[in-house]
Amino acid sequence: MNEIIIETENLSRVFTLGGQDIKALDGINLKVTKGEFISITGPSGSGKTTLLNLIGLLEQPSGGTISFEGRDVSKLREGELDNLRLKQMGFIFQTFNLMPTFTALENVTFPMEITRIPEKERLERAKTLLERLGLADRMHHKPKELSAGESQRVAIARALANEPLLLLADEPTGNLDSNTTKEITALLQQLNDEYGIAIILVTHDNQVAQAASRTLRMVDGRLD
Amino acid sequence: MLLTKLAVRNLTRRRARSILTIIGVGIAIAFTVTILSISEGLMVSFENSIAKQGADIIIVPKEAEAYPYPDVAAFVGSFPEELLDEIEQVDNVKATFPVFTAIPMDFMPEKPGAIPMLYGVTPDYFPEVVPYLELAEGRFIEDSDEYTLVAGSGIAMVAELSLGGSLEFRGKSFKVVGILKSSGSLDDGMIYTPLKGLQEAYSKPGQLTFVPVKVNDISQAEATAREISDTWPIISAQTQEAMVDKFTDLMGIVEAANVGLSTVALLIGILFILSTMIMAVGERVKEIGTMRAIGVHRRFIFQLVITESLITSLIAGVIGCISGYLLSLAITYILAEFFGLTYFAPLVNARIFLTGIGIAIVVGALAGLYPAWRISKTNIVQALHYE
Ligand SMILES: Nc1ncnc2c1ncn2[C@@H]1O[C@H](COP(=O)(O)OP(=O)(O)OP(=O)(O)O)[C@@H](O)[C@H]1O
Ligand SMILES: [Mg+2]
Repeated sequence: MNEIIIETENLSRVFTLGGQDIKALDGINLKVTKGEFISITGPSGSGKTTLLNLIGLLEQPSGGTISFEGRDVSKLREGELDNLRLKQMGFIFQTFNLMPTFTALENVTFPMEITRIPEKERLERAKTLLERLGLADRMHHKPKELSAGESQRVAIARALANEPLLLLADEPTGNLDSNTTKEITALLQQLNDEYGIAIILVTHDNQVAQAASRTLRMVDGRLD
Repeated sequence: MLLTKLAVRNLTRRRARSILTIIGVGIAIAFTVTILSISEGLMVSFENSIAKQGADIIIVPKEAEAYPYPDVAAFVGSFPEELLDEIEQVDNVKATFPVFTAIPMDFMPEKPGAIPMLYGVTPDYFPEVVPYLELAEGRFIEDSDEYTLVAGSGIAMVAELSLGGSLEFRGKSFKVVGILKSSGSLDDGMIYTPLKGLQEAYSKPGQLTFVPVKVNDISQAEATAREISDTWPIISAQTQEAMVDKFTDLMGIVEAANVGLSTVALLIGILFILSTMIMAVGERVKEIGTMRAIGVHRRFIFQLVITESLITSLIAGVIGCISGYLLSLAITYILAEFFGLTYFAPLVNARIFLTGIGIAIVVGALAGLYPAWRISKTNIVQALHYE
């Protein structure tokens, strides 16, 4: 079962800053198959975040193509890209980015409200996820009442809410202490095992990167 | 539903700021509602009197020509009633109704608004000229009356008149024989007496200040009025229509002022909400970037901001309408209690409420547009890294 979720071909991204072109990505060819756990490491400024943003359909490449399940995404309209992110991808950020006015539970149900999953199912799914992530007694807490580790777990639950094919995590442990980092890393590994969800994990931490089944390294906008 | 829930959450997040905005916009709307209700009250009061009168032509002394209203005529001059016999000979004239008007300036010194307009009339004045007047109790003036009076409801209330009571004007005592129902017009502040009695009291026997005229052919009223004015230089005749037109012109000016005022309220409201929403949206860039990354559509973000803006302005609209209404009640009370002015009251009606709410909706929609548009089009990646 080697179904390809995402495939990039000769992907490039050039930023023009003060009249100078910066090649943030320079000919990236990457295939991500279903259930795969990929980690990407590399020096600062090597283009890891840029790559993740492009794969996450958050911005447009300067050259090359991205296909999602065989479809060239450059042909999709904005609303269709939104829907792909909403239903097929989960995002995990270094700074958690939870909605401050929502409780943990509401943060997790929110993406399902957008996809119009009925309330009952929404709540059931959110509770199951939060329980699975060890947050049973934190469901009704607001983000400011949660520890960093708890916040990131809520964010992971939110990313999983619409049962995506792919999780994109940009330095998810960047703001966590070493114990919590271990916890979250182990959790990602378990989720990958249990749900067969593909993960692309960008990290500076080699230990974290080792959790992946495929480790990639990026230098100067290229994959080694 | 989700939009509303989110919008309310966002608004309650900065409670003080939301409340201040609502108060600001609410005040603007409250003032609009109050002013509109005052001018509506004025308009209805005039409409109920001048426009309903059964006369086709109004005759006043030449001196009162520019302002052919009985209250002005009462001050500036008079003309002998024998003139009416001659005027009735004019072809188109069907009937004339002699009136002597006076204004007792010293009526109730402590309540300057309570000064009534005294109308000395003949009995046929009631059915022919002011057929809309109805009695609350008692009767109208009769032929045999000398010193009697029929009081408007407002003046009866302020002066605490009742049947059988009396009022003194220029040393003559007039007995109360009738009290009128409120007509929501200037008539509420009038006192009707027999013509002769009032002329006697004011030492102007045989003098008139104001004469409504009925004609046979209304289409010729204007020519007839001109003929009367030209034939007798000491009087001036104008058609009722011309007077209503003047009144309509005046109301046009009031209406224009109202539109101006509503526009100012609208602009103030827009500025208030616009600045609040720009702030509110500015501090949520990262959050909105996150929502977009998750897959929330641009349109949803746009609607969310508009919803927040609309909720703010609608609450302000409702509060503004209610306080505007209360303010106009207070004005009514003050006018009656301290000035004895009961024949004019601010009027709050559905149209005014709808104007208030309408302003609120327009304010909310317009003020939300720019912030909604700006935030919904921000670049997701930049928004995610916005601090
Ligand atoms: N919006 C932008 N405008 C201009 N240059 C940019 C922009 N975003 C990224 N870059 C540049 O592109 C290159 C790659 O940046 P990117 O953020 O992808 O690196 P990274 O590998 O994620 O780095 P880090 O490990 O520090 O997060 C860098 O040189 C960066 O300065
Ligand atoms: Mg980065």
